[in-house]
Amino acid sequence: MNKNIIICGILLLCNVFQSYAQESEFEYRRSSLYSLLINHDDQKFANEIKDAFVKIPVPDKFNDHELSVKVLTMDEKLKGASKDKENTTVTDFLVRNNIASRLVGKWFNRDKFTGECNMELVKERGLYNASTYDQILAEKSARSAALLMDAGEELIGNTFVVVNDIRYIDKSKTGKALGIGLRVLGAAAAVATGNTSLIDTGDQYADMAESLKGFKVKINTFLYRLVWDEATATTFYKEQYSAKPDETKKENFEKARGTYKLKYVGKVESSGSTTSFLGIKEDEPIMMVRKACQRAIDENIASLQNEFEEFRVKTPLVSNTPLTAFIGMKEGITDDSRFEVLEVIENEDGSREYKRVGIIRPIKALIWDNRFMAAEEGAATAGLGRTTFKKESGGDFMPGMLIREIKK
Amino acid sequence: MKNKILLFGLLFFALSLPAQDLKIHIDKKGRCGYVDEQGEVVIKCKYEIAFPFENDIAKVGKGGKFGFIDNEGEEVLSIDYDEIVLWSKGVYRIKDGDKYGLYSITDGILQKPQYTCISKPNRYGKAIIAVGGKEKSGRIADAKIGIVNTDGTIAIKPEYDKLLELKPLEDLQPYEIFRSKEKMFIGRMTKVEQAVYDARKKAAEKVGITENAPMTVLGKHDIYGNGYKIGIHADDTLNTSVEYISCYKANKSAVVDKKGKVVTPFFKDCEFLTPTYDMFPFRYGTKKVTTGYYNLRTKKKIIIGKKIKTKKQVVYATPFTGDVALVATANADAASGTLAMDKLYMTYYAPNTFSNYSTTTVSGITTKTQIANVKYKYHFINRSGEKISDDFSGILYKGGRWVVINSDHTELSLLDSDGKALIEYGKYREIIPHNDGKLFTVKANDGKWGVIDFECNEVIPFNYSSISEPINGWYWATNTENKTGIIDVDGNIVVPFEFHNLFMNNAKGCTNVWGRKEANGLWCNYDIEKQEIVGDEVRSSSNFMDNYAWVVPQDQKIINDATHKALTALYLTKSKDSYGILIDREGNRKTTIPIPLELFPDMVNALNAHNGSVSPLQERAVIYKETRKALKHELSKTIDEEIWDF
Repeated sequence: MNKNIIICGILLLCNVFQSYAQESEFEYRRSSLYSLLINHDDQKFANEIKDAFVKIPVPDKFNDHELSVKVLTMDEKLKGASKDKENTTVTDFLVRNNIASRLVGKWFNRDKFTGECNMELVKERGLYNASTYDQILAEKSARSAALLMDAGEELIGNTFVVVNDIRYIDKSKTGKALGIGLRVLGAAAAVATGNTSLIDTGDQYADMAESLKGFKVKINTFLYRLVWDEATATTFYKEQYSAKPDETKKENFEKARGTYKLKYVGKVESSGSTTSFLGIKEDEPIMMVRKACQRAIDENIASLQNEFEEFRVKTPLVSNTPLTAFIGMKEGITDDSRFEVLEVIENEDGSREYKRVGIIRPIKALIWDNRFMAAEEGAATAGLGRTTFKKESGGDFMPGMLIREIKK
Repeated sequence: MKNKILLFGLLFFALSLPAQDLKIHIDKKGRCGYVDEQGEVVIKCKYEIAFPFENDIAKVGKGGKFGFIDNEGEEVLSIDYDEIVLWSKGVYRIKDGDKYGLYSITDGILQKPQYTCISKPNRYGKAIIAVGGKEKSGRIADAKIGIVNTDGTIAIKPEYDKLLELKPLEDLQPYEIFRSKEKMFIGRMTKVEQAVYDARKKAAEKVGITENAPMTVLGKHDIYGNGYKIGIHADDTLNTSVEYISCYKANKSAVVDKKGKVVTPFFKDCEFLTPTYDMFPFRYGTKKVTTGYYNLRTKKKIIIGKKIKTKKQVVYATPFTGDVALVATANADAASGTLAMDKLYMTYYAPNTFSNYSTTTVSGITTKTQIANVKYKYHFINRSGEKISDDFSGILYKGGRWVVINSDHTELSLLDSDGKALIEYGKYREIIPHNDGKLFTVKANDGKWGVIDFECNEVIPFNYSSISEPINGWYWATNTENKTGIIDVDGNIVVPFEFHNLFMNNAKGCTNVWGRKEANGLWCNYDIEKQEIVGDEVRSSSNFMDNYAWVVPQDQKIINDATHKALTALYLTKSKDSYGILIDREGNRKTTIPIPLELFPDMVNALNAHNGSVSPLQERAVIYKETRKALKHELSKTIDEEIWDF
């Protein structure tokens, strides 16, 4: 009697757990990103663009690897910005300011005053088992080396810098003509209403009524990747890493800043298309700046991922019937996108491998519009919450498997 | 027996199962349908797009059209619509061609697609509807406009050229006069009106007036208000519950109630204010203005100022506070040459002072209030428009009481909301209503301060040379020996009168105040619960935020070392008293690196995030992040090392 009741109870519980499993989020390793703005002081809305940029969060498919410098200025156009090749002005800045070494410093929470380092960030982003990680490292064995190599390849070596050169596209070509018209009308209005204060304003030169509707920007985004090879890692761990204050190791790192490198990967340019004013509240028109900038930056990030495989992100399947993932138009998904499904294999030493187990593609009408303010704009598929896929090849897929876009 | 138990268990199990949710299924040809949890097809795959089920219906699409199906696949709304968007709870806006309608899950079609625009409903459940008109720059212009409720019923028929929202009653201050900046029009705007708006906006910006108003739905604009727009848009929202709204046909307007009934006559070029006590203030005319009220009960117009030339004089009709209303009259040059006087200034007038400002100092804080210009006169009228009081030269209303100054500018009195005097003129030299309007801080003729209540009974005795406005039920006061302390509303001492200065945290439940016993002395942390001073004295401090305060300890030294300079070099001040550390309520030091006061809130956040304890590394991380992220650096230059966090 008791046994049967227990069985029923277990069955009930199993049913409950199963229905929840499909909707849980899965942890996975992300690339790390540091983004910079080149702001043009010679342009209108330079401050608004800067303010909007500083508020744009790191995309949720990346780890935040920001440094304390975000905004760079110049009072003229960036020469060669529209060309595809590496821009020497940008690269020169990154080299001159030892950006690569600072990204490394951040990985190890390096205190620049004492030289102290730790592995906390590596552990956190690497999803390592915290209790065994330190133990394995302390062994100084082949297992420890494998663990460090895994962190190097998967994490530190997947650190990227994007430099966004943002220029406002100015539409105001006809200001003067409108200003003259306004002056006349202003005087007429004063007569009609009897409010003499209008006559004063009517005599002033009236700029074209500025409107933030149709605010457009053009963004060139340059992509760099942190170089973290075996030689770099060995030198760092041996000569510069210290878990306690160490003046010698601190100095070693400072002197070696110039030896850390960023590799230029490539560059994309946004389409410069008009972003709709829909969804922007009338008393907050400045959100239009944020919307235009964020959309264009997201577009560029998606383009970079399409162009450069090393920059492509992985994201987990969150359900398998139907196949869905929290990814959408913001990541550049279109009808033509194809994704490989990867099974994550964790080795005994803690390192990970990825094995392709199939191909899927999104269903045209079920691509989630997750672009910034898509919901406010009333976009048709903004409410979907996830993109649905169909299988093209492969076996059974399980929630938690990662998907990664294959070049279009 | 065993079988019965098993059966019972299975039954329980079955009943406990969640409802069978249908899931979207895609076939090999990419068509959508629905399957049950076992994967069995319930609704065939014949749609191009399918959305999840909600409330037992799902939106589906085919051939570019949309409709709703139930969980058996039956069409509950035929797949004939170009667009279906959730509009309010259980109600969808449907589009057929270029016309919009409303559909309810439970009641079917509420409004057939016949409207050129249906806007977003506001939080009161009201939205704009329009018929006719044409699209101009993405908006519908020259339409006839009305109001629809979120249940799909028409509140006001779409037959008006313009609608003017009246300021909500709860926001209306009885002493506020005709504030054109609260006007919000919905309707069309002409080119001239657009030009007026643009010019005024420019003028406002020139003098630093920023627009800070709720979202406009086609606003008539004055120098403070919102802008006109041509036509309406689906994103536009009303701001009020539309108890009453002013509706225009051509250039005539009347007030319409929430059921669409016209309650006042139509007046030409008329502007109405929100009605109170069935009295509708209005004015019409441009160069010669007529001001008055429409009495809804008697259905009569009451004129208080007839065809007055705006260049010479302005008459203001304020909302009724019961059976009386205040009328203010001003000469045209009374307010710096502008005619748009949008606010009565609070005044009280210290006798024998003939400046434009009155200055008072209460507990170390000096306030300046502008005197009502001597050319203003105020009086009360009744519901028939008859003058029922003397003239006043200054007046203030707060929560049911009027503080008035007589026409000679010499004496004060306190009146009830019907204008009856509660105290004789001249009993007090100053009367300051509290923010809640229930108590008044008053100065007797011997110069001592006390507090009286709404009925003019003494609450705090007249023993003090100054008393503040209460903060969370406490006053800080200075006694006749020039010592400061804190008393509660019953006059009990909360903090003893031992201090030269006291500063109270205005957060509710404040338990610590900073005081110093001597002028220019050190500050100490007085714990109100313990009734004693705790921790060390400090040179400077902030009020407590959460459980922390920023202080400059006596022994603080800013040695210009690399660490501190690197962290805080951005701050221009070199004064050692500009940097402080954080302490808790007991006076224990919680941080080690001195920071400027501007970083105090960020460091409090860090302490809260780390259970009240941060390492120097964590302190530095906060400092770096908050001080540097918005700074600009030239691309061509090498950035100083002190800017970098790593």
